[in-house]
Amino acid sequence: MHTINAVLSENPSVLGLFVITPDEVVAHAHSHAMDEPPACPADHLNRLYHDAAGLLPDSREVSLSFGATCVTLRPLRLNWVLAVHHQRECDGAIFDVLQEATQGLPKTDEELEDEVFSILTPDDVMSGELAPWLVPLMRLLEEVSGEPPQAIFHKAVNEWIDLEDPSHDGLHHFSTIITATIADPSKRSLYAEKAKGILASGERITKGGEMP
Amino acid sequence: MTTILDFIKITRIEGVTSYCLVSKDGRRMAGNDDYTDGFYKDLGRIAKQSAETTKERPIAPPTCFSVRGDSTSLLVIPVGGYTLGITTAPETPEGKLIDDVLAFLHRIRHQHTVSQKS
Repeated sequence: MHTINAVLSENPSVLGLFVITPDEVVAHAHSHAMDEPPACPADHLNRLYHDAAGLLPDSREVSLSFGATCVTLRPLRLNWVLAVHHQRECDGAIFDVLQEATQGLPKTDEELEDEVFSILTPDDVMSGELAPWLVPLMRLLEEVSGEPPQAIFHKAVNEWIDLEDPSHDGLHHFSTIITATIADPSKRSLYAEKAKGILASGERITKGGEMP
Repeated sequence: MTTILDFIKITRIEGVTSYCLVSKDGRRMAGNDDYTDGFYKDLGRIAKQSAETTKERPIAPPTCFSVRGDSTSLLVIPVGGYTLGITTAPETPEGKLIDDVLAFLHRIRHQHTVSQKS
């Protein structure tokens, strides 16, 4: 399943995403800006979705046009509604992806009671199954930049967690985040070049079962 | 003044399958198909609801809203105290249809303004 932040970062035409309860409360809000949640451009969208969708027997989507931008509404479970604020020209397939990504957000009281929270931290990632790649990347950063790498690395892992679920396939994304933190162009190129070797060494796991 | 007869020409717009023009109190003033029988009474009420979504926001009310279904889509546009409902095939490009309908509405209003002045 795609993470919401990853989908938003890949689709600049999506301006904001809102998950709205039957009481018209915006339970979740996301946008490209990580600093603060965006404001929903309109009110009473849950009621409007359900009333408007009732006009057609096979309705699956309601959309409001504000000229240059639109708000597209999709149903979620428990009568919650997904509202996507987007540019008028927007690939319709993105709504399927976002509906799928937010389908699990509405929870019954019983589900919330049963839910065990598990928040992924940078330390979990650093000490987990990706450590054989992350530790050499951290050492490389120290070697190239000549500075203590821990704080920069911790911040970069946090950024990576926000972007996607950390996995071996996403190590290239992580390396790009680290590379962007190096101000000196020559050091940056050197890091990017040497990091390729560390990332490529991971491919041996799938091919030959060896660790890097 | 724009008359009901002006709306008949709306069916000439590519993508328009059927249409109905509904007054605030839910009466159908014009229409070319029985298909709209199922929902025309609610069009005005829901169009008003749609306009009220931005009542406390710094942006203008939506110019229209659409309901997309698997076999048909419905476009709802407020028109000077009335509500225009248009059905179309789901594969019809909606952006172009909205532009064409708004241009049509502008044209018939402008046409009457000109004839009133002359």
